[in-house]
Amino acid sequence: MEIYWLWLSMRPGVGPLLQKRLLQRFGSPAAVYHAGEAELRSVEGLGPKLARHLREARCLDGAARLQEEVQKAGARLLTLDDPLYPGLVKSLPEAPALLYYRGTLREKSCGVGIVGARRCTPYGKEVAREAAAFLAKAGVPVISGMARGIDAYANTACLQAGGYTLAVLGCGVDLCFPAEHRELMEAIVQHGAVISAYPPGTAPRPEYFPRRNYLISAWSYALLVAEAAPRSGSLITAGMARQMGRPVFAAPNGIFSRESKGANALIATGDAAIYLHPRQLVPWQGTPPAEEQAKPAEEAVNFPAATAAAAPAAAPAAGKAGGDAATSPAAAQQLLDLLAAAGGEAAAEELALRFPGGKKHFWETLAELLLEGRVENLPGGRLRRAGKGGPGPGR
Amino acid sequence: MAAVVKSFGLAGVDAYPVEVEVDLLGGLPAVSIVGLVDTAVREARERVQAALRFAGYKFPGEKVVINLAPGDVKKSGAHFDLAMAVGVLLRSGQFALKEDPGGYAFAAELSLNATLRPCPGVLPMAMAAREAGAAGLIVAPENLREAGLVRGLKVYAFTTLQGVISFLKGEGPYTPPPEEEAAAGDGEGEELDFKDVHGQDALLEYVVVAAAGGHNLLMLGAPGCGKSMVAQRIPTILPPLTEAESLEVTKIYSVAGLLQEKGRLICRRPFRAPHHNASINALIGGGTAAGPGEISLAHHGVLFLDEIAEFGKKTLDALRQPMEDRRVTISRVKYSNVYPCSFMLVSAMNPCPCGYYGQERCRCSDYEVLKYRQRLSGPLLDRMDIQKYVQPVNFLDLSGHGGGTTSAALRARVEFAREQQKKRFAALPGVSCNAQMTAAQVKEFCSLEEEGRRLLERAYARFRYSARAYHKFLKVARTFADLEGAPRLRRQDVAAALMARDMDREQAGLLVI
Repeated sequence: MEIYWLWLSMRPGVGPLLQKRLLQRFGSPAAVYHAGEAELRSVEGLGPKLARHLREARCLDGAARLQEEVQKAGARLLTLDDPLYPGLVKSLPEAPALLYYRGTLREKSCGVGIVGARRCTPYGKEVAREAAAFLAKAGVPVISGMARGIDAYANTACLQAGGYTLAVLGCGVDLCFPAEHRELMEAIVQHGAVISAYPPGTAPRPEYFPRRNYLISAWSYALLVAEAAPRSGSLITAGMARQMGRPVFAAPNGIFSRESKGANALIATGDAAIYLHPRQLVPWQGTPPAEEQAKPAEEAVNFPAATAAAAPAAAPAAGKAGGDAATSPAAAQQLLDLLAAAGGEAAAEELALRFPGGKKHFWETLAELLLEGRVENLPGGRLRRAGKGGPGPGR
Repeated sequence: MAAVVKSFGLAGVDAYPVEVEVDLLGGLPAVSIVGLVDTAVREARERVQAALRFAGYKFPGEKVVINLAPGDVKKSGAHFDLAMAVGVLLRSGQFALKEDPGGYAFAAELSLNATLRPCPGVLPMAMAAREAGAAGLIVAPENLREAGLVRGLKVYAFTTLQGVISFLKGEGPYTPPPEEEAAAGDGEGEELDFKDVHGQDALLEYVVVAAAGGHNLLMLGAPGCGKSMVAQRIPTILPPLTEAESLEVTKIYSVAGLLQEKGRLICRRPFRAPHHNASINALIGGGTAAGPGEISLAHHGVLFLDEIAEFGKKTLDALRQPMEDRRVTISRVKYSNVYPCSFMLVSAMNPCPCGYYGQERCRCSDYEVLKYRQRLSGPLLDRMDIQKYVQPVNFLDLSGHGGGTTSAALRARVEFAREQQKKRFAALPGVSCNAQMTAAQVKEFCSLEEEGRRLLERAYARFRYSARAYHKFLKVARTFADLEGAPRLRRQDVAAALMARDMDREQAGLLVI
């Protein structure tokens, strides 16, 4: 039967809308294949030319070749009548009749989309990482596009937190774009799925990405724009999500940062809600658009409280375990105070200059604090008090 | 019978005796030089003929054969000229030696005007001359002091060929050429000092440790944050060269023809900073003559690779084996030479392609960062015991800062720690500093105090270090302890050592799969 789906998806001039009308009229792609020209012409929007073309294309060779390729690529087909095809997506007019995927599609694969700039800042990365990890722990799939920057960070952070993630591609599911994400792609296939509307072997082209963005928002109950430059693909995704009636969130950011002008503009125009905490992404107030909400949402609400309670409890415990703490607690406190005075974040060297206990003692105290998890490393040799959240408005 | 005159050939940093034999065979005038010689030697034919003529001697009007023995070793260099000229004059009977002809050895190039020119490698030649029991070595005036570094060998310098001949004839007492003024001081005035480095005190602690324990050092930092400034000053805190080390270094420079202060022993630790487009041969050694490369020129000193990530991957990986063996064998078709290369590797790189990783303006993705860092292969990174960030200094903050510590003060600490190591490794020939310890020796010499052990166990549980990383920490901790003369590794030594590898810890934080 698959072959008829492939055949139908290969017909030029027959887009998602017409596909659906044909299926409605005839019931299955096989029936469309065998339908007579007159019958075809009775379908709304199908002119005589297209009807004749469908008639003349009654040959399965091309479809068979494609089927072989799909098999070679290890890809699978997701057809409109497949129970795994989410209702949320199916209900959309532009949802394609046939999708290709590699990996495992869960029964409930819809989740929260996280999109953003390819050239992102550490701030955007932190937003994406935090949100994706939170969603992973809450059992909510993370939907993204495996592009450079925010997309890949969201996919990666979700996987690292043991979550389920989908990556929607603008090329065939057997190709990796960008190439540096080969390992990430394999990991997604292992613990989630990569999906595409394009048959295996299709190289990425700019014009393929709007449809990919459409599918990202289609699969998302809610969409988070972590960071977006003006006129970027993320804004297109956000616009589509909005048209579908999905809540869109945008992380606010400094007004001078180019990378966040787009996200800030979304907020300014009211197209997106201000994003302050990942919890916002999970509890769909009012009528949840789907079944799977109730439980994860509940968990999610409890979750931050649980960590907040666990973290301080863990820290003193660790402190006690290393009760030999010959580094005086006073020195540790001095260092923490210095860090706090510097705004919670500083370069090691700056702290050392001000640390009263001497250079060697400084490193010793710092090692101790790092081990206890009370201070953490930031990129570039900088340090930060643990549990302070990302830079800017965080927890 | 052929006339036999002594000279020397160079193989690596050592010289070996070469006998220059000259014979006249009658027949048509011709000159033939044999003995596996290169172009520079073969061209001696023209130089010697012209010089002899200019000096008022006659070049024999028949076939002249010059053989450099041993005949199966490749020879190169223009320093055989003088020996050939003397040989030709002897054989053609234009002068007779006052004493035993085997007495003197010669090493100088001739100009067409019969003056003597200096040549590279005179120091090892002088050493070989002493070993061969020569009565004296005759060189160009510029090489006099260099050759004079070898004790127990008489060295004579002349400006012209005529001078040499009249000395050999015994026509007058030897008058040494006027001593040239020593090039005023050896740059004493522009001495670098760590006191010019401000606000990097915490980093300097690790630089001292690197210098004290012979650990290789990698500095990470944004452009312009002072990586090179620190690196250039590292030789100033290393202990001074011993006489034997000095001689070794001078020999290498002599062979490479880089002895700028001719005849002066190199007393400062070398600092070599090749540019990152350096080829493997430039770095390791090579060329048709299989000459020494930068790593050998940095022998007993510091090899500084700035922007190490920009070096060719192959070039860097070629460093691995010489770093381990502390000598390198350069093999070419004609030559196979062994050069020593016991150096401290100091390197610097940006933390990411744009250089500003962790700062507001950086837009590098984690994959790009990782890829950039992977230009340094794992095994090479492994050999860098200390990897520290250099922070850009906010100089407005430094108003209250009294200035850096002087190099002299830091050197005193380094020397103290080296003293401890010397005692410890006295019985072990291959090991002179902590960085060179083998795994077994780490076990033997790095015993931990109870608190130190507990700290290390906790760190191990938290960061899951590999066994190899564990040994590195112990080595660095050993040096920290040596700086204070502690016999066992204390808690604070371990803690400080745990902070020595910024890059490893950061790598764990990258969001990549």
